[in-house]
Amino acid sequence: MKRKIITKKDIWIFAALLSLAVAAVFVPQLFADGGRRAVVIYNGEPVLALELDKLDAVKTYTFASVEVEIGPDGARVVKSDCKDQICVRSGLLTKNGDTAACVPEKVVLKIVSEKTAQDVDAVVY
Amino acid sequence: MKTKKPSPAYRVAVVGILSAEAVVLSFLESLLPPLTFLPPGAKLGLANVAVMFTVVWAGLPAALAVTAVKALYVLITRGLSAFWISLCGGLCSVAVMYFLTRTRQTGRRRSSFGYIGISVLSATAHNLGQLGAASAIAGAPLIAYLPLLVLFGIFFGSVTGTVLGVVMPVLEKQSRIFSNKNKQVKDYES
Repeated sequence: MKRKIITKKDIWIFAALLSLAVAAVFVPQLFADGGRRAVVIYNGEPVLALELDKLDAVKTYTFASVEVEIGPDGARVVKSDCKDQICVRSGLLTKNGDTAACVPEKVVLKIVSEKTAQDVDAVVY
Repeated sequence: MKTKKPSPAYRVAVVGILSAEAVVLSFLESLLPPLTFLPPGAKLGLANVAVMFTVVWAGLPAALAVTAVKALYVLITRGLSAFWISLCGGLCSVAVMYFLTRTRQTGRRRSSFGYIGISVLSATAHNLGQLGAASAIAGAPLIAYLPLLVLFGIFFGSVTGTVLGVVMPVLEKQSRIFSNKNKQVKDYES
């Protein structure tokens, strides 16, 4: 007997994975509160945390070769020397949970809600 | 399907051929223009067709070797962190492929997953492995990417699974001739 291209079990896998993915998108949003913060993690250490709503102008920060732009509308990676440019192509981050990571340069830019951001409060500069 | 005692040279040759296939497939894939509606970093993963064939036909050690060679290709073209990400993802997906296709090798009944199911699961394992490696290197958990990666794992896994389902029977038929020939050569030598 040959292996089939698709079986009943496969459909169950589809359903299970799909619902997992959907849950992973929507469940965190239920717990998110309003305050959005842009957080930069460099080398595993949180180095910058800014509350977006309190900003009035777009500012640029640089970590290694990664240029990060943070303004009232959101945050984005503008430039990076890495090869795949995944971080730059992530575009403008606006929602809580949005992430742009430049793995080769060890820079992670995230938007987090106030609650999640509490542990990085101490390092705001 | 496996010859009784393949010589080291035979095994090296098989791993070489299959690695070349995997590398060429991922190179060809990189020539495709990036589609704008895709999340950054999502890829089709055509090389997994070659890896999957390796798992089924040549066994686990050969598949691990192919994964390593493919990761080395990534090291040369895309750097060290991409190498770790590729290696981790590859090992996870090979483990899942091996686990899901193993039943047939023992001669008992096959697992009831189809090619698409195996592809989707191994693609998901691949993505999880990649995400784990990326998180470890970046020093921060990157779970935010997970839902999209799973979603596209389902989508692209189905595509590669369909390709596999079409290609696999043909490949198996051909490789049977290939290994028979090899046996004949060995008989001739002895």
